[in-house]
Amino acid sequence: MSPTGRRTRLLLLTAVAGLAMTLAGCSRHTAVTVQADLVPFLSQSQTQASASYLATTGSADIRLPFSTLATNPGALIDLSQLGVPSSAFSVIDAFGLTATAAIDPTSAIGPLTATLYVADASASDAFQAQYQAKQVQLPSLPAGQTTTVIASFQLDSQNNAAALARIQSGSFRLGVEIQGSVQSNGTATITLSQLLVSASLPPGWGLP
Amino acid sequence: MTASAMPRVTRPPRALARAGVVALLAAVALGATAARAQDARSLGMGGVTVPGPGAAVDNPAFAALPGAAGTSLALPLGALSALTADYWNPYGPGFDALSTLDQASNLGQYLLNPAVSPTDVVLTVDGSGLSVAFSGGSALRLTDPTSFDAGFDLPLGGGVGPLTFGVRPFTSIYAKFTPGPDLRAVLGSGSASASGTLTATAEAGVALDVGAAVPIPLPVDVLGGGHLYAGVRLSAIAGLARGEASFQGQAQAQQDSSGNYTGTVTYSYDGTLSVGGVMYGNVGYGGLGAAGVAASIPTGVGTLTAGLSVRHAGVMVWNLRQTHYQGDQTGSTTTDLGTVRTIEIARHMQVGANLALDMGRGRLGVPGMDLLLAADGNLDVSGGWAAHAGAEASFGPLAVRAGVGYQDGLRVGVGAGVRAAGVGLDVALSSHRSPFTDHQAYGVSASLGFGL
Repeated sequence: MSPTGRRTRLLLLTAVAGLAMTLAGCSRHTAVTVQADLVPFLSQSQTQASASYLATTGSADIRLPFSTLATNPGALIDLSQLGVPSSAFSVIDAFGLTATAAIDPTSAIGPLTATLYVADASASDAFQAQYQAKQVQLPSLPAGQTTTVIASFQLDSQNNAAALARIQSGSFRLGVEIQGSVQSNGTATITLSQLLVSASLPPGWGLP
Repeated sequence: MTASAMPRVTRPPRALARAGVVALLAAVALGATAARAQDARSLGMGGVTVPGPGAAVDNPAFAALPGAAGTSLALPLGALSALTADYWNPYGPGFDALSTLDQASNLGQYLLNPAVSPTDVVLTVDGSGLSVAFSGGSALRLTDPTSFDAGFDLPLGGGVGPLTFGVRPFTSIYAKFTPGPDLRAVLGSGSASASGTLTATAEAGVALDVGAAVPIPLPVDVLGGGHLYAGVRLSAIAGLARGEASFQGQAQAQQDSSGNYTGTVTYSYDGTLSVGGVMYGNVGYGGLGAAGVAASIPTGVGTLTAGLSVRHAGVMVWNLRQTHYQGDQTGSTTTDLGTVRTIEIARHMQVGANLALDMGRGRLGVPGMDLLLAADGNLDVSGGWAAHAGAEASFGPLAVRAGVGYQDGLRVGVGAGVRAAGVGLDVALSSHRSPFTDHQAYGVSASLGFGL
């Protein structure tokens, strides 16, 4: 298991321990949401990076988090290594991910499209169209300014059944790709300040 | 379709199990109705105990006070909620553990607004550590030590002259959760660690009571012509069942020298579970005593009655099967410690004081009105305390009441009653703080009185 996977496992175990405490006030109408910001548990190289983009390619392409892109483009956040029984994921009825990053481009980047990928854990390349779970549109990035970009994705069984089913299987990986059109060459510094994953359990979860 | 051709309807085992659980809850609800629980007269006066022969269970000397002993039976109106509310059924869509706990521990009252579990619980792990936020429902009280206390105590018996005899079946449940200061932070801005201690005791048994209360002769000019009384009660206890649990746990997210999280979380727990009783072939035994004095003093504004008592003083011996549980992130151990004798000395001992001023008729310029003011206070060895004050205005057979008190939170009450031919009916609307919350619940109660 990778150090990140081990840390994440321990992180989630802490949350599960807290969950046991809160069940003291359980009812059929109590909904439980577990959320974790992964940034404090990532190294600086995973949360900060600089990249160049060329006008000839026509777009800037940012994939989060960075280190996984650098070492293995197909390896994203692997929540299958949490150590939590896969059956625990089966009760999730909604899943969310919010990535917050500050981007400082030297030349303007056109309107952004952020895409959440939810891939099978065994997928060789997770950034494939078949694993696109949801897209959101974000504003353009002006040149010479630091802009905070917040890409928030919410998955539920009504609108994102396939992606949620992968999550409910307990064997999946996550990643975020942010794309925007460019007209001229430039560089950008990206600082990931929050990578918040959340899972909602249905009301009455845990009761017979 | 003929009757013989109709499919046979059988209840699946799961449905039978559910019905059994519901029946068990109902039985517990009815069985736990506290005959000694505060009756509607007391609840309507803020929970105060009015000195008199009927309150001899609190102060043995009260048995010698003039007046009818009477018997007040608190009706288990709270049990009606099993018929009208769906929060009791753990398999039903409306099940609510907090509502059930609130109503079950106040079966003498039909709660109009029992505590409700939160609608949303959000657990967050981030750079501040672990934090928990609740929304909706009743405000949970988890940042301060909180306890739950419920009991069933049914004194049965009679008296001959200054002596009283009785048999008193009882059950009690007491639990206390003490959060560590870091856990309070978890429930606030977040913390890298969390710890807490949970202790719980439950027991059932039968007490055989023998008491005596007599007036103490005084010179005429002492107490202004009033009277002094003294009383004692000794109880032999047969403990039928007992369970004890004491657990302490903590979790810690490790940080490096710069304060950054390393991703390592350590945790540990340590506790014991002890059980004993007839089901294990042994019973607990011991003795408890109570003693008190009371004085009735005529004053210019009425008759003042005062009492001072010590109760639940004594020793209980149990032989309990004890198991020790210990563990941390590297593993856990369970050790059977065998049968351990535990000796409990005066753990529930209480000191109580009562005051009442019977101002008689026509006071405050209201013709035909009898006015009674009462107050009490109790302190137990564990540091818990309670205090109440109330008033009762009577107009012939009718009475109206109001009071306020503190007993695990604020209590207020209003009530009314009617008495005729030695029989009385009292009703009250009162409030209490629900267990483990800051929620103020209101309930309706009723009592029947006999031999008044």
